Amino acid sequence: MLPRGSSFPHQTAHAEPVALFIRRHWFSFFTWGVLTLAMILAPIVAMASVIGIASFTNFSRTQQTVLILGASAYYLFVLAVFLVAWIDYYLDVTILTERRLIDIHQSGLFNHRVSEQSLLRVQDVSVRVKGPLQTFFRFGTVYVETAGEAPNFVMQNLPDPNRVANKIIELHNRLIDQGYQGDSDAAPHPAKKISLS
Amino acid sequence: MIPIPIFLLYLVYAVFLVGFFAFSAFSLYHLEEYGYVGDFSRPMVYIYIGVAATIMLVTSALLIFTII
Repeated sequence: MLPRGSSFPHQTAHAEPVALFIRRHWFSFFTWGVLTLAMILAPIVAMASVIGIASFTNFSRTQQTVLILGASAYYLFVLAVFLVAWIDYYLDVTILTERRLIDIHQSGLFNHRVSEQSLLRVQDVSVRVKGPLQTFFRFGTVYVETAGEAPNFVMQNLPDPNRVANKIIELHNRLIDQGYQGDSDAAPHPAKKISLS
Repeated sequence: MIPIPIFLLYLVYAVFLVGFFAFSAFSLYHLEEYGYVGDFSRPMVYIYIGVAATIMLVTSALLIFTII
């Protein structure tokens, strides 16, 4: 569910019900978390093992200033890297409303892409769970093939991808049963799930 | 009087800080602007500002300690 009091890009004035609100699986951020931890610990371990923390007081004033300012700049840099990684992870969102599929992709700090597609245009939905990690932690990629010139949707690292695929098909078929025309010029027909791997 | 190499160090650090503040302001604005989900955006902003302030406070304290 969409958290209370929040909205998303391209939301219609009369808010359509949100069926699914999905972030990327936490594992896609895990690598950045480990990297950040390593970047935090590396200078401390290096300093302790190579020169010894106690010898810091024996340094000249210039050396101490270099170390302090260098360490400060380094840790602020690590913090900035962590923030960019967090933004990259946190702003990657897939929203499935009862009529549309919206995929928001944040790449780095400056690239923010919002893709939107009517569920009426959905033709095929497939799921790919690749490798032991994705199998064990239950996340994978959902491919949504759409009618016409519109580019297909590829949503990576989604948790429980089978549930997402089933929900897309369910909502698509429900729209057709209701005779919803929407703004799509594509001839609606029931979607099918082409593969589950 | 501060020797020139140390003065240069402070100058470089100050320039770095200006860049860091600009980057932080833009990033946090970005997170607020697009953080439409509203659950973790605000806490993350606070955590980021808190950690950055702590680093700078510790830096200041260590520099004062070094000068004294």
